[in-house]
Order: sequence, then C-alpha cells, then structure tokens
Amino acid sequence: MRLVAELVALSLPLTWLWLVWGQSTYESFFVATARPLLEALGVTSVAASPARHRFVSYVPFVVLMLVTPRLGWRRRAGGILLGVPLIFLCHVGLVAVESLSHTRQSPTRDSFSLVFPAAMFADAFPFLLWALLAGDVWRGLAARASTPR
Amino acid sequence: MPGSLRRVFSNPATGFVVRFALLLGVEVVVYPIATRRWFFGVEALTAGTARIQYELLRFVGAEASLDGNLVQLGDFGVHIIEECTGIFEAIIFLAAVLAFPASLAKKAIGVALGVPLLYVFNLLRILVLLVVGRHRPELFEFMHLYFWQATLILMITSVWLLWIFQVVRREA
Repeated sequence: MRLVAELVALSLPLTWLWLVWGQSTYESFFVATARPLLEALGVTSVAASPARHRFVSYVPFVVLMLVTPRLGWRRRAGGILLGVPLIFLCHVGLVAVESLSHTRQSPTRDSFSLVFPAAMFADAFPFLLWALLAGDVWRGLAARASTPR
Repeated sequence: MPGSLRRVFSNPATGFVVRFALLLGVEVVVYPIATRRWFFGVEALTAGTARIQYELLRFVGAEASLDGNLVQLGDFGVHIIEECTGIFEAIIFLAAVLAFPASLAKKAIGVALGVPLLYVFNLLRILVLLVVGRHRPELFEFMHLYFWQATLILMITSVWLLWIFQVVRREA
C-alpha cells in the first residue's frame, strides 16, 4: 500500500511537470537530436508522429527507480543516468517504425501489425529497464519466491 | 544451452527480462493476427466496456447516455476504443506473470486475479476521465496523459508486485 501511495505521490507532480515543461522541451530536443539518426533510417517527418504521446515514458521509469525500496542511491542515480538515453533510443525506434509503417510513398497493407509491437515494447520499456537495473532487489524477490517455507 | 546463455538465464533479473521480452514479443505478434481473424472479440470487449461504464454512471445517479460505444456524461463524451479496454495492459501483465519464476498454479492465480483487477482499474480511470472532462475540462489533458501513458506501466507493476507479495511469496 505504501509503495502505491509513493507511486501516486511521485508520478502526479512529475507528469504535471512533464506536461507544462518537459514535453515541449523534450520534443524540441528530440527533433534536433534524433533527426540525423531518423533520416538515416529513412524517416523524413518527425514533428507529426503519433509516437510523441509515448514520450512521457521517462516518468514511470524515474518513479519506479526512485520508489524501489532497498536500492542504493548510487544504483538509483546510475540506473536513471543509464536508462534515460536508452529510453531516448526506444523513442527513436518507435518513431521510425510508426513513420515507416504508413508513409504515402510506401503504404503498408497492415500497419497495425507493425506499429502495435513497437508501441507495446515502448510502453513496457520502462518496466523492462527497471527490472534490469533494480537487479539487487530482484534477486531478493525471486529468491524468496522460490524458497520453500 | 551454451555456458554464457545459461549464465544470463541463471541471473534472476536478466533471466526475467529476457523471458519477459520473448513472451511479450510472441504476444504482440500474435495479437494483431488473432484480432484480425476474430475482430468480433474486440468489438464485444469495447461494447461491453462502454455498457459497463454507462451502467456504473447510471448506478451512481449520473446523467449518462450511451450511443454505440460513445458514453456521455452530460455534454461530455468518450468513445470507447480498443485502447480503453485494458487489453494492452493485460498483454504486458501476462508476459510479466509468465516470465516470473513461480509455479504454474501461482501464475494461473496471477492471471485469473490480475487481469480482472486491471480491468477494474481501467473502468475507474475512464470514470475519472469522464467526471474530469465534464466538471474540470481544463484538467482533462493532464488527467488523460496521467491515466493513459504515465501510469500505465505503474498500474501493471503495482498489480504484478501485489501478486508476488500476496500469492507467490505467501504460498511459497
């Protein structure tokens, strides 16, 4: 219960911060930084990508890293520093898949089959990263789960 | 299995992440194929979710109406689509439960209790969005982002941890 309260207490202000400041700042940064990479992949337009709605995935990742109990501060900070560029790359991949799956030049018969897996992986990516980076806590969870009482 | 691969799987965290990614990969490839073939299932789920939402609003005495999958609270309405049914959350949750090292029985309990619980959370968040959209429209954008993208994975993680603490560890 305490964990859920902490998740809510932290995710609410961070989402608000994202909406009023982070979203537009990140989108400008993303367009400027990811453009060469995306152009190399054949993506010409980034601004109108529907994938931008999923850019907020930094919030759940940071929240999970901060509220996980018994995780050292060095691991938390290091994990966040490592996770942020990985999430950026995940966004680049998602924008690329979404853009390339339904362009006018190369229409795909079934874009949902391409976009859906990418969108789901992007949604699950903060959880996946957290599970990997909070490995110390994990070892305890899995070990106790498999120890007969 | 080669030694390096065995080492990856024997580390609980890495092993879980690899299994989770593989299972999610299978699910997200199968889901579009399955729903293309049996789309009536998605239609039934969206229609059912809209109906339940409407009945919930009527139950609490709200001024609600239902037109197809469009649920109206006063003059504010939401169209219930596939994304509103909680099915995508269930897909991620299913992969997380199946990937965790636990017995088949405990995994079955996790799926049987967790998926309906996620669905209930989903109904609640649509309800909150309808109320916010009707009475505090200036907060709608924030609440929509919060409930749909920001807390999606937090909701799944909470239910998944609840399963680990209340079912997997308690009955171990």
